[in-house]
Amino acid sequence: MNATTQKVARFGLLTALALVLGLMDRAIPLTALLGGAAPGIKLGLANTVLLYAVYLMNAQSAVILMLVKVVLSGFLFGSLTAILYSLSGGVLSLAVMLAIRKKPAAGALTAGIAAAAADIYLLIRNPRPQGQRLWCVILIAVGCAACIAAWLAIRKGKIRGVVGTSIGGAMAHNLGQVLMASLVLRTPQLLTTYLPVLLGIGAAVGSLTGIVAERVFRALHLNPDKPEGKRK
Amino acid sequence: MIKRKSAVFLAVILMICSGTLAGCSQKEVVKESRVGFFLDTVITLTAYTDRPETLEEGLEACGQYEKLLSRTVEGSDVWRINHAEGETVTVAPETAEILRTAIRVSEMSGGAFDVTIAPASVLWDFRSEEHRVPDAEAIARAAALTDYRKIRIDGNEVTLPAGMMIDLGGIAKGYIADAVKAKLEKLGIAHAILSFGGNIVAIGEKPEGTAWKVGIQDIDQPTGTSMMVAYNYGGSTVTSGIYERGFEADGVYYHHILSSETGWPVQNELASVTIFSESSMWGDALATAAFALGTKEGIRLIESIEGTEALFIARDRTAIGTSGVMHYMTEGSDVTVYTEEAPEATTEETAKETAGTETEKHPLMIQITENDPAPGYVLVQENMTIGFLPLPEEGEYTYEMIQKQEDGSEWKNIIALTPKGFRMIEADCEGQDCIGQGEVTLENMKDRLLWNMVICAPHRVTLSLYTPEEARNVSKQILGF
Repeated sequence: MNATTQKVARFGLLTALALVLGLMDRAIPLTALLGGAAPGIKLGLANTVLLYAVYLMNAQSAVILMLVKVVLSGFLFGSLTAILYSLSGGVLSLAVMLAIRKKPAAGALTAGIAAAAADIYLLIRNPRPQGQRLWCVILIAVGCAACIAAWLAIRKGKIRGVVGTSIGGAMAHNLGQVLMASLVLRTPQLLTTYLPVLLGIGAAVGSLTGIVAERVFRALHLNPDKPEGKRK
Repeated sequence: MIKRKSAVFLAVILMICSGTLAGCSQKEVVKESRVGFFLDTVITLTAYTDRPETLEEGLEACGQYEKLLSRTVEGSDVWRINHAEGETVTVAPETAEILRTAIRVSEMSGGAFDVTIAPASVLWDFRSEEHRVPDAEAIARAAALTDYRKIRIDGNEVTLPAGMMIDLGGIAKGYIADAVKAKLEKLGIAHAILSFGGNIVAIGEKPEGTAWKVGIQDIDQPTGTSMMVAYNYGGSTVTSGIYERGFEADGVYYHHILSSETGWPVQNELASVTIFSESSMWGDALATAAFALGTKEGIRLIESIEGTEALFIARDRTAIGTSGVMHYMTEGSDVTVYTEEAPEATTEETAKETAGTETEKHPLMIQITENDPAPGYVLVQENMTIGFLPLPEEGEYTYEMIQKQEDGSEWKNIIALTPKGFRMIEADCEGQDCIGQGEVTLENMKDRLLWNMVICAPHRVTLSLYTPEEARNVSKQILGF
């Protein structure tokens, strides 16, 4: 197989995988699990494909893959508005992932601090959370703990940096979506109300998908630190 | 020498004056006013015109209509009906038209407006200095003679049972105002404001293109002091108030708006009702009807008539208006917009009369005042629209958002508002996340993940719940932009 054919084949596979995982994201009703009150929340399994691209391909390929995924899944399952949201999330998320892929430990620490800040902010605004908010505060605290744990583990070399990058990407994705939503909906109040919730949830969900990605990389004997798919 | 100097001075003054006068007469259009007194009312016709004589024609028309419609002028249509002792009387088409409209308003208001109140109203003399309260038994007998359903109209033939009487006082001024307006328009007047006591009718807007301003009498101040100022865009503004005519006897204030049921002055919370409408005849009758019905029923009546709005001022000075009333109120007017499910518009006449104008059942409010009684507000943001909906004090109402798309399709969202909060009950968006977001209440809004909001992201609709205090602040922010 020559290099181009291989590239095209891999691109097709990754795109298909991203679309399928995107479909799975939609099928897992995270929003419903949170009492329906947190629109736009999903696991972000499709992000593992981008993580692969970020680590094992070059930046250019990752960007193309992201764009193709956003546009295709938008046309297949969503609307034009949906494309706007996922595009802003995708762009910001990819930018952050590319920026921190070499320093995932720092990324995980920053994410942990951001999650902690979001949790504290939520607690300040409502010191006695009940119901949905209580679960949310707990979830964010768990996410924050996961970030800190990831930071320590990455530094000690116990897990790979992928986890840190995944967390950063997930939070950036949510940030991008909220920014776009507050623009489209003309509701800047989203930034003070929903953004902390989404950032915190992003930390929790991002560590989860990060661990999934790491397991997959391990199982496939892929070494994220040696790009362009040079396998053992 | 001194004499000559002063003569020169005088000449210069004269030249300046004549110059100014010449300047005036060169201008084609000047503001002209004519005043007359018909139907117990001072009538002022003011127009911007180059032919002031048209105004005199307007006053002449008033005189002719008085001869037709006055209860006291012998030989008038109304006088002949009242004195026919049950016989059929042929009247002018105008009289028949007014009577038909009067009966229509009576039907719509369940008899709150009734032209056959005359037996009771003749007992009350609000003009004389005597200030005498009529005999209660006489009033009761008169009230028993009040029933609009007994008027028979067949073309221009009117039959009234013997003993009954009609008085067109609550509708004739409006009819005449409309007629004079039509006449002046025909004579080429494009900007005029015509005052018939409580009825103000405008032709067009002011020459400079701004709306006329009509003062709404302050109930606690001498005549001529405004409590609020309303806009008139070339329609009719009619106010019925207890201050217009009345007297005090033995510590009780008796005003001229009589209850068709009892024959006594209407006793309710109201001090005045102002009707904004196209037709002053309708406005006139509706003002009396709405006043007699009281705020709640009155608002319901006016809301059922498209293109007509009303302002209710209570004796405690609070002002409540129908859903579209803010269109007519000047900025900063302290008016609460009443919101409740209103019945569909029903009348053919009014539909015809106001064709082309559309009123929303629940218009969004921008300004929220201290006096507003709502327990909370929902800020509706949908595409370019922004505004508040008040939570009802009791019960539930729904608000429908329809966004027309370029391809002809529609996006629909319906929310239900209760005294506690609101929820999305219907949406044709994909995913229907917004319905799943559940109810936002004043209690749970700090515990929800979306705080005080329900968001329909695909339809770009955001709804947020605010306490009255928060809503006032947000309202100020919005108005501050």
